[in-house]
Amino acid sequence: MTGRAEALNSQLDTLRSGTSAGDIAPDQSLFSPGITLHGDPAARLLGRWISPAGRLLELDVTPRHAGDWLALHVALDPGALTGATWIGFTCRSAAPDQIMVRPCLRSGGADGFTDCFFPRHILSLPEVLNHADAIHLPSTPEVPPQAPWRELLFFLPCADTAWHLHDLRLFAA
Amino acid sequence: MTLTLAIPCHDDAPGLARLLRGAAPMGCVSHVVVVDDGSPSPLDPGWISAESGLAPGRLTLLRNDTPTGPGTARNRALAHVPTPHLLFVDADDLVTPELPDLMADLAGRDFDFCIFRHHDTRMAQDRIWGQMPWDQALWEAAGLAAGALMPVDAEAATQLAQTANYPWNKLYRTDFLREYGIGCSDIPLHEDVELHWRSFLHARAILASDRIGVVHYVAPRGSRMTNQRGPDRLALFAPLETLARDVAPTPLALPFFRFALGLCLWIRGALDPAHHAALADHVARFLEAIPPEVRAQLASADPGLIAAINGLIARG
Repeated sequence: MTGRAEALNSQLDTLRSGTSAGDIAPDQSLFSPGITLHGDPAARLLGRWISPAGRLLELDVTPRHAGDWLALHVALDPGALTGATWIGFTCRSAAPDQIMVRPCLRSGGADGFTDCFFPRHILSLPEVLNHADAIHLPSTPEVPPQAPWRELLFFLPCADTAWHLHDLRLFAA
Repeated sequence: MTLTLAIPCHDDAPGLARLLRGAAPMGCVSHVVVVDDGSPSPLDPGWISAESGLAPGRLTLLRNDTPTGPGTARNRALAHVPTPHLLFVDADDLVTPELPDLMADLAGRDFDFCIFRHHDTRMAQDRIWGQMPWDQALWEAAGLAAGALMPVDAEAATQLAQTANYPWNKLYRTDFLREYGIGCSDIPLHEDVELHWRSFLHARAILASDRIGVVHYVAPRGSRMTNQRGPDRLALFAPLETLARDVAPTPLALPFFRFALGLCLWIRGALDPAHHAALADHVARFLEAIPPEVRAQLASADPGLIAAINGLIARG
């Protein structure tokens, strides 16, 4: 792996190479350094997560109350995007019941953050599916060229949701 | 956690070498028992080690001087398995890189067998990595289509039990098979039906994994067992009738008879027409083994199946 790819993927490698499990916390669950699930605190989340051998995550989330948002956050090395033309990812996912997942690049700023959604939704079904998407940075001015922090987000339905992320690889070129 | 691969092999040294080349580097495969089932040229342990990279100390090679069929060979292999867990594989199968991950997930879990998904090479023409649609539908009906490791409850077991009766999609606890005397039937074809159903009948803890652990090679034509059209297929009815008696009073009755009658129809399609009358006689006798209440359930749940079976008997 090149230095840029290694910087983007090292946190994922840690999660992929081990096995672990735990309960979903009401608003924020840490699975591995830089990889967290955030939910609307009003939703008071419940559930379980598992990181099987060789895979990333199986999430099984139930909100106790109505909530507005739920997302898996993957922290990115902000320096890895410096001078890049493309930021993108490939993933393999499944879901016991069909769901749509919306990937997003979040960039930190002085006044909070800016979100830029990837062009395509991820469709997750019981059958494992591959998905690839990318943002062309020169033609996407809403992505700030410099940012103190960046994250890749996967917005999930804030409802009873099970999502299995078998693999995720990030690239910038 | 480690396991033994138990492999019957008849005249397929290249396939065996290919299988073991993939399995030998896997840390989870600690031992391999091969039963050379009457190959015209006996397998040579030195050649197997050299071709596959499997250290000689990890290999037990047994030989039947005359072919006994894969079921009897598997039973002989089972008697020599030195590890707490085993996987039956055929010499022309392949194990995938997901097998070590499945073994890692199983560490510390209490189970009699873990059924996992496989890749059927017939799916490759549609660029699909997975099993045949009818098996996949049964996994989905069981609510087990997605998940690295899931417990199988009694209701889900009635669905999974109807999947193709393969031996190589189940990772077994060795003592489970030995304690219940579970093995393959001593018949040349369909020998794995009894292993499959007795596993579901006796298991107290079943796990399921959506991992694809084995690639199963299916050739549409040729001399492989799958393509045999002779009367050997009718030997199935002896173990089928024994199974029927044992399964009838259990929740597996309806799925078992549904499966068995479906298999009868499949056999008719695979059998040379000269043996259709004999098949009809066997099927008619087998129908008598179905308890009336199960027969009524079958007629209600699957009237098309019953009509097809009646047609099979009538046409002879």
